[in-house]
Amino acid sequence: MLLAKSVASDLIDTLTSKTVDGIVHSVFDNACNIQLDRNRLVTLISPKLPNCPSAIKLDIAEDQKLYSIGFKTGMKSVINKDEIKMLKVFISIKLTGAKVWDSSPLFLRSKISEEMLNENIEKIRDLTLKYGEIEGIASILDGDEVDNNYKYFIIDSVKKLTKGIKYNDYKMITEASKGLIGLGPGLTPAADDFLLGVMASLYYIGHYFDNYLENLKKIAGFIIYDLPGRTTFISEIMLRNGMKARFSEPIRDLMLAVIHNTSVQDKCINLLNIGGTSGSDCAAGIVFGGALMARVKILK
Amino acid sequence: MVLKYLIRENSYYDSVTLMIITREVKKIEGVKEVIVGMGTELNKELTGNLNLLTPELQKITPNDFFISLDSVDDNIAKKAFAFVDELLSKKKAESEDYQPSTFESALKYMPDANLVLISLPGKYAVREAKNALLNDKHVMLFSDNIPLEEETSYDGA
Repeated sequence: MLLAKSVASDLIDTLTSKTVDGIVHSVFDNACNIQLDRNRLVTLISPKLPNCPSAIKLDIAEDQKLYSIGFKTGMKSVINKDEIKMLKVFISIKLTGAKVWDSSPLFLRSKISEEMLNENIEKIRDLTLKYGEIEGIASILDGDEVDNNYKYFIIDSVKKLTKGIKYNDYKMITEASKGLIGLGPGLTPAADDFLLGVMASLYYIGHYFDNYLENLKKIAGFIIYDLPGRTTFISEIMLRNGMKARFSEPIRDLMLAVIHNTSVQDKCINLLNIGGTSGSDCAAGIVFGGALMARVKILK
Repeated sequence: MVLKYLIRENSYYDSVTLMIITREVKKIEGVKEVIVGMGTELNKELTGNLNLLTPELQKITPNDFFISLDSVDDNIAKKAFAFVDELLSKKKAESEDYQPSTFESALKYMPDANLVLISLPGKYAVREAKNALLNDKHVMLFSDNIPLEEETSYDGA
């Protein structure tokens, strides 16, 4: 029997006393995705990964690979609030007693100046260009320096997204995100990571400027309006969580560091270290969204 | 222009693997352009813009992994795909390095094994040793703090 170390709070509606069936969607070194239905996902993660929405952290050795436990794509599982069972390999993961990791946003009042806020956003840009992987969407931070197919493909959509958010033009936002969702390599395509970063800034920097959360949520909703079928299942869930202002620990930590001016460099490096280009693409989205919100301040 | 593609349906690879593939394939002399990704609409559109789209690639879904490349000749394309295959096979072999986490799953995985090596603290060792003996396996046990009465009980099991 395996034990769960922590369970993301957003899984409370999924993990009920009613037992539901799931199928292992994909298995990686440190993560195993279990699909419950078209809209629900439970991700088992090793202690090596940071907490994130929809995830259950397992109490196993940090260097233990998840596939070595026996998880395989297509494997059936049954899930309820007490345990997850993979009958074929006799694996039972006990959920009772696990800590709850609160995946909800932390909107705290900030007293830092706008100047400092802008400096922090610039710091993320510099760190991403210096330490990040700019082979994906993050190359847009580099002006004309990096020659990259993705960059030229998205540039018009990114400009349209800027205008759409600035003028609160929902149609323009939806059209722009249609030109971004699902683009790029990876299980979470690069442009999706970028949009996740944009939504993180939209919420956290938007809150810094005292925007109504309902307005921010409306814009985030239009960013993912045309999501179904345009990207991978895992990415769809990630963006839906982003729309609800639920972000992984490194993203949330970085946003809090930016608006409270605490250890931005460390938190940014943590984010840049995620995945191949994912962390950098997300950081690029944070810079883009952050700079935009710092200019716009109050949304119409 | 030699256009070649590879499709793996319902296959997912971590972004580090995909990044290595893209980087290394681009380095192969004679490869003019390469695109690696999942079959989303936008990835297919970009593939089309790069003149790397084929009718087969047009049909894939966001759950299918693909690589499409343009090279100067067939041999270069073969070399590139051999490299990709090697990398993905290595990944698959790693993922088959199964280490059962329970006695029951180990028994199912290797039903013909006749020896069970148990290295556990005393409070767990007895249960596993009994399990193994009841399944007609020899047991080699490294443990401590097993109560004497428990030890004698499974000595004769």
